[in-house]
Amino acid sequence: MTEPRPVDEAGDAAPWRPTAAHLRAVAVAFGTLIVGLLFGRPDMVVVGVPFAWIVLWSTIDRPRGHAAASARIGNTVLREGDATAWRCRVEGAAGAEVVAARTTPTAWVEWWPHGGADAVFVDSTGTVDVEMRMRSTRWGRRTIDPVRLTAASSFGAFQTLLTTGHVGLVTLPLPASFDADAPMRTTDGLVGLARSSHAGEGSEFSSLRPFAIGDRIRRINWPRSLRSDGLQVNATWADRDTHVAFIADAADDFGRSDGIDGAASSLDTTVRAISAIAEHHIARGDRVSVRSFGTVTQLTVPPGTGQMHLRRVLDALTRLRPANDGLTIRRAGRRPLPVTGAALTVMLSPLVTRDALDRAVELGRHGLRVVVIDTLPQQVTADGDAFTRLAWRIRLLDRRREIRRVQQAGIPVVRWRGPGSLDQFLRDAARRASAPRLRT
Amino acid sequence: MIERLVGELWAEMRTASPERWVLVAAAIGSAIVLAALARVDHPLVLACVMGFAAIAALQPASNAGLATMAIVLARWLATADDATTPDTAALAIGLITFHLSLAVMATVPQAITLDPRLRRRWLLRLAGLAGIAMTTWVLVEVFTRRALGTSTALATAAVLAIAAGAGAVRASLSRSTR
Repeated sequence: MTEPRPVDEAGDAAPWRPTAAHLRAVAVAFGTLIVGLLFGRPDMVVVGVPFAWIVLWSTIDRPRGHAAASARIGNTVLREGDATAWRCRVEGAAGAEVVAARTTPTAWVEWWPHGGADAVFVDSTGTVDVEMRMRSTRWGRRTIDPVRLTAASSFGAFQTLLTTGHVGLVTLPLPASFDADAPMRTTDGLVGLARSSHAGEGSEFSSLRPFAIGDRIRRINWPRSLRSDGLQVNATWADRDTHVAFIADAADDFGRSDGIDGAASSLDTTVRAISAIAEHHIARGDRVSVRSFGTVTQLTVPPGTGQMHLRRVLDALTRLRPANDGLTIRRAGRRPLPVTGAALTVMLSPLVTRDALDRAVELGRHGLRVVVIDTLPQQVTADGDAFTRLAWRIRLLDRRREIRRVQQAGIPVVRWRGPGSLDQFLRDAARRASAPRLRT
Repeated sequence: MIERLVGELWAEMRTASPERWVLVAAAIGSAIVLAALARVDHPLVLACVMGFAAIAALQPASNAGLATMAIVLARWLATADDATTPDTAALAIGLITFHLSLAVMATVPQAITLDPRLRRRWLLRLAGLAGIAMTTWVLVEVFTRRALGTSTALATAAVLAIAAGAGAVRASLSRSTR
């Protein structure tokens, strides 16, 4: 956890105001005592005296100082499902009896204890620390609304209201689990763990061949050389890196999102899948780039590698906001294609509109290796409205036909299943790359 | 709109702690006792008392509690024949319970369980105020039995003098602890 940072320096000192409880006590005390004295009703005195005593006590005990609050948050950048501490120090509350904190409900933010409410007893020093924990359950950038703190005096007669400032909270996506056993070929980079289709400097054994001028001494296979007429060296496949380009279709978010603990929407699956595949490839030394379309502002992360670049990718993904607007999507459609020829292009889309499939076919026609990951949640058709369910069924039938056509055009479409989602595609691609070719 | 309001109210009440429900029950229960003591037998008046009490229990920072107490006291003034029966002390204790229940609910969020020190303090207050009500009733009873002419004024003066003394002691204590 990072050093706690102040998010609001001392909420404005608010005056102590009488509450409805004080008004009630004053009204009953004076009303009953006056009626009792004027009309000779001793029963009203019996009723009025305890209330007079409440008024007297709470007036004598009335807080005089100016309370001020300063709040701090442990960490403003979290991963999905992570929690951080929210601390607030209230000072100058001498004479107060209790300080109560109430948070405003924020989507995908959970608070402890008591769902974002707490009440702390104030001792004679008038300084009290309120501490709560918050947990962010979904990726994205959101603003935590001010926390309202109410300091109350004895008998709840006087109150002062303090509010903290807005807090910006960045929640990085938690990568889904992903692994790919299949090798990737045809790379054009200089570093990395992906085996190239070309022989060269690397670590993976390719074949044995006779020694040639320029070969390193450590490459000589001495046991084999002893059994043959000349020196034999171990040939290897070159170790190269791969540029994996992600294209995220974030035009809309389909399905319900319950955060990290529940159902995932299409955009949740997209973001977590990109995180997972990017993390996998960056760990192998590959380069990763991300583009989006259909968003409010187009997301662009240029190719790069390393842990800092992964952090950059995750940070950029938190900015994804669906435009839900056909005009934005059409405008984005006119932008140039973002990927280079040698890249593996992974497009993630719920495939509800034809836009993503059209783009995938277009990329395929440019000779790029493209795979489309279908991120539409299974439960998307579950709707209370019968007409909506029917509309979904019709759309899904159309969608199935469109996907079949795209597959016939040579663009594989796979469902996101976590580990191994891309294995079949990568194996097929490797098989095609290693097949003999006729050069004319 | 009413449906939305009820929905929001219900959603809020679902998060309430068991202690909160005890306080709500105390407020509603004391309102029922007050209505019985004040002989609120007219259905409309009874509906008003219970309606205001329910609103006050759900929104303790409102003035619905004051309206409940005002109706009960007005009804008591209209129907009570003998001002010095034990019902008077019961009425006072009922009003105190109702008032303190609302005051606690207005002070702390509904989802939380009270700090034990706070709970003890409020219970002591309830007991102390009930004691004051009983003492006042005894004083009034004594003055009335002995047929002192200005019993009301005397009782008021005597009790207020005691209260002022207690208040002064309390003030000096709180000054010394700060």
